[in-house]
Amino acid sequence: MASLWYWIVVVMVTAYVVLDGLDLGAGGIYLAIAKTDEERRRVLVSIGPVWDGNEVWLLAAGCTLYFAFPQLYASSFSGFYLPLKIVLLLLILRAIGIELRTRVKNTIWSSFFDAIFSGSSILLAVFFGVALGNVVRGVPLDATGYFFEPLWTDFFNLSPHTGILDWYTVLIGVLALVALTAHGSLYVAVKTDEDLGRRARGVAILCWPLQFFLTCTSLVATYFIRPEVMDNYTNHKIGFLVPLLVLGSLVVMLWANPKGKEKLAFVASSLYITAMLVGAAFALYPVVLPARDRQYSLSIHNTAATHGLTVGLAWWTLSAALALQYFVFVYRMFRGKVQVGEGH
Amino acid sequence: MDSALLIHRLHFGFTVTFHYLFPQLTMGLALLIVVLKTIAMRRNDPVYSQAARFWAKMFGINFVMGVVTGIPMEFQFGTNWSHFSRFAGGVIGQTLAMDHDPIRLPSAEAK
Repeated sequence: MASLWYWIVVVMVTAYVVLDGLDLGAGGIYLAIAKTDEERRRVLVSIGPVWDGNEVWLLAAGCTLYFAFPQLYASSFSGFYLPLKIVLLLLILRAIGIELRTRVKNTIWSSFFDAIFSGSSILLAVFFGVALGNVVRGVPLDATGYFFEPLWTDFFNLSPHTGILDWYTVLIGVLALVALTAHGSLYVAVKTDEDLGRRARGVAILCWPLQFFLTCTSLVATYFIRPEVMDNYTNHKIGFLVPLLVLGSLVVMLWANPKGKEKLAFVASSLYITAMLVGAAFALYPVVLPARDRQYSLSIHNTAATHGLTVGLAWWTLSAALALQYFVFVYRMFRGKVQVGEGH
Repeated sequence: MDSALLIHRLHFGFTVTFHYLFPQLTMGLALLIVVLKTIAMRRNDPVYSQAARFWAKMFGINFVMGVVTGIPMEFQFGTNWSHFSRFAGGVIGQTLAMDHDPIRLPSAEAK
């Protein structure tokens, strides 16, 4: 039962990254590709109806984590106190940026909110990558099951007292930024046309070599700092399908985008993100939060709730079905290229 | 009293109180909109339809505020009250997740 919930949480987090990734990425390239006010409005309209729905997946994943693995939720949220508050602040700034940008008429204020929206999107992408990096690298958990990480300690050497930011987590953060930028620009390319669509496609093409290079580097680096990530792969050979999927989707992105098949490239990019996250989850399983000192690692066996898991399954299935239906509905209602004046 | 604890309490008290304003209104408004819309369809009366549209706008704003103020609340259960979450998470987490989970999503459509 606990394994089932492990994978449910993985699916929800993946859904969050794929969905909110597209509007974080679109926010990141926003200032670079949209030159005129009309173009900026078009980018905003393209994410307008979906961005807040996408963010609900973050909440939903968090809540599921809370009742399925209370011990994990308690440890990680108190340990990651500082970065979580930063993420919270960035989420709020981003929402303020989008909402007020579309309300104000003054050029100075609209550029101000543009910068807030774009800057917080970029930082959020980096921070989510850093968070994943922290979870894969391990945190200084002790026998009580708690830890506290300052923002940084020793950047280049992984001492037992790690900080949030070190060379490895920053590497994963930069990879996340590049991957989500490509993801977001492909989404904008799907949703818009003319110069704007062309520029978005161009950004995705520019991102590709970097994304490929960083993906390979991060895989090697992960093996370097945590050799045991290979255990599950060597025990279950089927796991090697995941890196193949990563490679395959990267190839499709490289091939489809210049040919004007941006929809296919966007699907490939979603697949890439999914494969990367599932690959990480597969490597960690059954550990949910590795400790630097391996004996204190939190796994699904010592953090899962007991009977709550069965109770949760009943209503969760129902609500997940409803949510899925809703998302299919919204994205279908909203298909095609956007024009300004459609509003939302 | 430990001063950090007092600040945590004030912090959480403010978050919860502020969040609590919005979900109530969302739930009540949902029913009101259904009633207004039903009357509009039955009597074929545009006035009720207009009223339903007006309250749907209020609903949309409320819903967004509910989600936005709910995020800090959820975070604080872990960041400020981690021992509480560790013991009661299995129970309180269920209801919290029912509240935040996708059941509420379809209502965003009203925007």
